Amino acid sequence: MADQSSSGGDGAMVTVASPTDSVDNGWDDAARAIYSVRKIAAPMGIVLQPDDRTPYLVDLHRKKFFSTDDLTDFPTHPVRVGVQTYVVSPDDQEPAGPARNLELLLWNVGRSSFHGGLAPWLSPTAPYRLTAWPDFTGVFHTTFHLRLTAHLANHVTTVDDLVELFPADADSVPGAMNAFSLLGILEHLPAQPAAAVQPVEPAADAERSTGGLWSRLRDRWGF
Amino acid sequence: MAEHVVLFTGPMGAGKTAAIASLSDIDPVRTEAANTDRVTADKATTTVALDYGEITIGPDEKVRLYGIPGQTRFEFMWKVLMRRAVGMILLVNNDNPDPIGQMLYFIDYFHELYERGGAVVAISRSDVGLGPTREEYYSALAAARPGLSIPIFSVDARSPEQMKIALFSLILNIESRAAVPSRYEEPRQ
Ligand SMILES: Nc1nc2c(ncn2[C@@H]2O[C@H](COP(=O)(O)OP(=O)(O)OP(=O)(O)O)[C@@H](O)[C@H]2O)c(=O)[nH]1
Ligand SMILES: [Mg+2]
Repeated sequence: MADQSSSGGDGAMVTVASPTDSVDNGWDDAARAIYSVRKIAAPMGIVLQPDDRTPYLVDLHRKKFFSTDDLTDFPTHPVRVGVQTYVVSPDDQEPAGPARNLELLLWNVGRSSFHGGLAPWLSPTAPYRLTAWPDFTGVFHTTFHLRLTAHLANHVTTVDDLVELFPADADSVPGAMNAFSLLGILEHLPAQPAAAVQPVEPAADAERSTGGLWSRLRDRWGF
Repeated sequence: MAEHVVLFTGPMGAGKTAAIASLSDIDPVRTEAANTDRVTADKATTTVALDYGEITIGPDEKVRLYGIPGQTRFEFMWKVLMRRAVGMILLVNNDNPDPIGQMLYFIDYFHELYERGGAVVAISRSDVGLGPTREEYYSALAAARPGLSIPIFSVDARSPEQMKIALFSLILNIESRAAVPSRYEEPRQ
């Protein structure tokens, strides 16, 4: 886990990853920092700087990020992302630079971190469910992401089960789970007693009242 | 002919007519008349009977799009239009004086439709008036009507791309809700 020491309230910048840590781990430290700050609801901002590009100032409290970069060309595989935290207070003025859709940044960071694997704080066998949908009118997605979201919003499921349910997109499951977690919409439910465990029903059953209309709409609209 | 009726609900000026125009393959049928209530929604015309549009899926399958008139004096039409629908897209204009109250009002009114199929909330006109955030809609819904599975998106009802995402998500959510429970859930009766 990255060093998460605070700056002691003086507003000074603190580098989260230690300098010796500057190996090729792309967005991983950034994802860890966002997750930690969200988890403890710390009054902290985070500055992310992928390689030598424009920094992103992440303000989880205001649900915005500030940057001159509008993410049309998001660096999915940076060599190194500088991560610094700073103390914020609600009375602070908004940071300089255009305010942008934080959901878009978190969605991208989540899907680009941990080399396509699951974030270390998530478990392949724990039951999860979504408490909200990402704002899909504003973030890039595929039909798979919509199907995965619909499933997880309505059914408590483990990552292992999702991989089985979506075999064609199994590789994209962990990244999407990381993204849900950074967005703060992934709920981890307590493990069920063994007696309650029944066999998983096959995925093919998952189409009823409108008889699989989604797949024909997808073809119709060329999604 | 397989038909799926989707209802567009929500208060006056929320964007129901615009949303149907964004999605329909045919020139939508509109029943607009001069708006005599410029206080509730400051626009020249308002729907007085219904909006109608359709999406052709194939030679034997259609999605029919019905829009209700937003004014409560046409409420008798709402029940008529609800009858055959499988789900609804509830548009709420974020420049409304009480958008969260409006969301809850229409969710309650069309509860039977939610139970039968499903619903999506689409927050429109956020560019016109600064209302609650999407998180605030979610929290208000969870607090007032716990246990509902309703996606909430921000949209511009004039955007075909965005309205397609909303409708597609409605259909996926209806089908997901109808699917068998996983091994971690209580079976539904
Ligand atoms: N700026 C902006 N305008 C929008 C948006 N969505 C819809 N509109 C416009 O808002 C106005 C009202 O939309 P309508 O589609 O007439 O609303 P309605 O729900 O049909 O209203 P009633 O028929 O009166 O119940 C129209 O001029 C739309 O083009 C949006 O997201 N942003
Ligand atoms: Mg209308």
